[in-house]
Amino acid sequence: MERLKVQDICKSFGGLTAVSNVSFQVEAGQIVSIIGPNGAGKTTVFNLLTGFYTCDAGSILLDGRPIENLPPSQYVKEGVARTFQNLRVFPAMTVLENVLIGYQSKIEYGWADAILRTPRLREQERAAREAAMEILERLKLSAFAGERCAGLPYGLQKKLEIARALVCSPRLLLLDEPAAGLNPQETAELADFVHGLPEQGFTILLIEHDMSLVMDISNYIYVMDYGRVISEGIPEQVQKDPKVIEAYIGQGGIRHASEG
Amino acid sequence: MSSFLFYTVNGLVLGSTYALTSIGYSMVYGILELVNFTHSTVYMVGAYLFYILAVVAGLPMWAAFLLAVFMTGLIGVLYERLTLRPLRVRHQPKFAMLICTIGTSIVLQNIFFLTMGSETHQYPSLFEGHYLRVGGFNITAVQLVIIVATAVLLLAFTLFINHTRVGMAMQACAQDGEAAGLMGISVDNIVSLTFFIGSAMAAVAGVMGCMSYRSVDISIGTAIGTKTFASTVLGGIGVFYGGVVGGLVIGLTEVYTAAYLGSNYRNIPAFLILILILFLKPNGLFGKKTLKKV
Amino acid sequence: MQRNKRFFDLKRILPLLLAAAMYAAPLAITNQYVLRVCVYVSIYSILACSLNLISGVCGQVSMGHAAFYGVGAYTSALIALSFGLPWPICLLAAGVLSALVGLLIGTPALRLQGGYLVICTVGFNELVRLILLNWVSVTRGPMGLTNIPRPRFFGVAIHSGRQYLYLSMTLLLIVYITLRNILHSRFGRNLRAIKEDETAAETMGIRVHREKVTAFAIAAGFAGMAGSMLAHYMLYINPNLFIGDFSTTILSMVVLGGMGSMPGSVAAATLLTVIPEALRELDRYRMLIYGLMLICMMLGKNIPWDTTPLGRAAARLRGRVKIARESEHGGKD
Repeated sequence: MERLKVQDICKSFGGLTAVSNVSFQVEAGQIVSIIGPNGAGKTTVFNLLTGFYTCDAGSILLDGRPIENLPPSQYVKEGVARTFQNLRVFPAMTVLENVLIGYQSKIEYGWADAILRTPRLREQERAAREAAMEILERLKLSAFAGERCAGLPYGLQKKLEIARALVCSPRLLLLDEPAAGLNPQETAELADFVHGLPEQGFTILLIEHDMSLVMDISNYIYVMDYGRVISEGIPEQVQKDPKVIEAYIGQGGIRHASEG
Repeated sequence: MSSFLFYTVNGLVLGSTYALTSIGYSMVYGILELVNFTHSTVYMVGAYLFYILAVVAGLPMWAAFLLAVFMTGLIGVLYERLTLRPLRVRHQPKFAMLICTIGTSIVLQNIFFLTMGSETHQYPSLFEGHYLRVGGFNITAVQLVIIVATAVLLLAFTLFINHTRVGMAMQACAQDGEAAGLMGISVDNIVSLTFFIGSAMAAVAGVMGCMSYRSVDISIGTAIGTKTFASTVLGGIGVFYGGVVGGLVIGLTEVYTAAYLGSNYRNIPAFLILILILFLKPNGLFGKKTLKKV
Repeated sequence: MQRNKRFFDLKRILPLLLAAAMYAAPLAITNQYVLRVCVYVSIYSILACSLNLISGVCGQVSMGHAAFYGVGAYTSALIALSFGLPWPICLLAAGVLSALVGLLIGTPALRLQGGYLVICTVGFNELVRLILLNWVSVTRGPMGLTNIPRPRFFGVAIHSGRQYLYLSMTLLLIVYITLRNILHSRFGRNLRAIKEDETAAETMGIRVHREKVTAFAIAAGFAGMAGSMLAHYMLYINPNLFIGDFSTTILSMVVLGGMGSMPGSVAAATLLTVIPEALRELDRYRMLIYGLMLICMMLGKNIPWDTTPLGRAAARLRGRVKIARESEHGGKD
């Protein structure tokens, strides 16, 4: 079953075309990756998928429902959660509070409940806390629940950002370079964790520079360059595709080759 | 018709003082993204220093003027060094600086209150007794001098900012302070220079404004504060000529309103314009739109 | 475990004890002047706490809070003067109207970022002052409104300084508890998240603009109520009470007390009301000292609440309670 179906989306800034006629799809319960050299338009695609940019053309369907061009705050309700390339946790809040923010779209009590501290609020707050702690437990972060996020090592903050997205129980999880800035051991742990997510019912679209990570865990890969999809297939196919090799060698290829 | 001309000249004089003062706001906002509440007080400081030097100390007018402008510039550099730089260096949030500028403003105002009192002083002027008679109205010589002097000063400033190394360095800092720093520009020095020029211009505006009104008191800074903001925002913060156009527009509207609707309403259009422009076109008439980075 | 339990109880009892002490204290005050200062402390605390919601918690710096205070004061006074309605209704009307004005101005204003928002609120404050000053037929301009009726309860007018203190304290308590409850709910969390990172907050499904505007309107509403309290206490108001300078004072209370801390706001409102009163002797130098104090406060780096001496003490206390509570929680699991 197709979880996400993206058809011919386009986006240009002024005269610069960032994404042109990009189409791809993600099957439910799979890990699909988008790779490509810097400036290929990958993050732009994520921003289009989460409403930060509006599509000039094309359609985005999540389980058959059109979700393009909604306000960014609407996507969590639609079932799309994301992380950011350059870490965006709430540094002055505690780890637990960060995850609670992720859970907030599931909380239903209103201002009146908040001001009067009704039983409804207490009930839902308890449920929220339990759900958040459970996620933290799963990511082995529960020991830090009461700590300010700013004090945590980078690797843990990255994990926290994923926890915050997971607690939304998204039907589609967008990970934007989750391994960036992690050491090899942390990367390996992350790979294991992400790899296990589909079993828990998550579907993942991943942007990543770390080739070994992508090749290890992806079910399917799309390769982008200059705003277009230039190749796609299972990891083994993509790895051998001369167009892909050319794209990487043509633009900062050596670095990526050495990483891969 | 002649009354209209008279009001227009008055409006241009007022607008000139706003325009000169707005440059300081604009430059500081451009580089530090800070709304500098001290700036309008600096306008008062400049005017008072001239008064003290020319009337109390009895210096010749030109010497008093140059000295007052220079000293005001130095005061600008000084308060930036003492109260803003420490916060900037430690990457404190913007509102800490904001409150600091308010504090400095109160301190400066009270220093002059304590030394000079709160009463209104008669201000010296140039070319007393010379005026142009248009219809039934007098346009004084000093008003014409103010308009011409402002034009010359603005022209000089434009040349400076666009055609000298330092001027271009200032523009670079305004666009991207971090990058400018990496390119070997000393951001600290540029900030100091910005405060010097901004404050000096405000002093010129202060002296000229008071010359045209023939009086000075310690509340004149507060009085022009928000109106100069309005001018700056109307033209687009960080766009110098925008502030100038904004200043003239606000000055003219103010005078016309006072003349045709009654002087009770003279202060209202500035704030209406300010709020409307913020709501409709927050980047101002000449400002560029910035893309939100994700 | 026993010990921890006791800690937990202490945390529950402490606020009650404080409230009891607060209500007992006025009985011990006989000096009319002290009572007067205390009434002002309560009113300013309401202003500081409410501004804290939008500026401290949510990071949207507003320098126009005195405008809502003024709108509330005038609304309440005018309703009382023209229709003779009882004070609680005036109070409510003041709150509602100020909140509506907050909504009206906040909706476009809160789309502005940082410095622009500051300028806009400064302009708004000035505009309100000018309207109060020039709309003579309604506000009586610079003359102000006089003979505002005292609040009455069951036919008895509030008269003594002590009665006023009880009234203003009760209002403060209600506002304080409301704001505290908001802070401890999803809305408080959301506002803090917005302050930290709007983009991330939006991605997590928070409707950033709506939350900001709501918080702004609530803050404005409470400021309006504080205005109503003031009007029916002073029995005389004029536009000069609601100038931009006073907005600055309220903002400096929020900053001094620590952005986002309600107890801090109350403490700072107390300090910034009492110190100038104590400095009355040095009347001429009062504002100079106040200005220097603002600068020193900022340079003394007290921006994150936890780094102020007050904040550190509170953090220590909170830390102890939290450890106690967590170990208790752990015990349950």
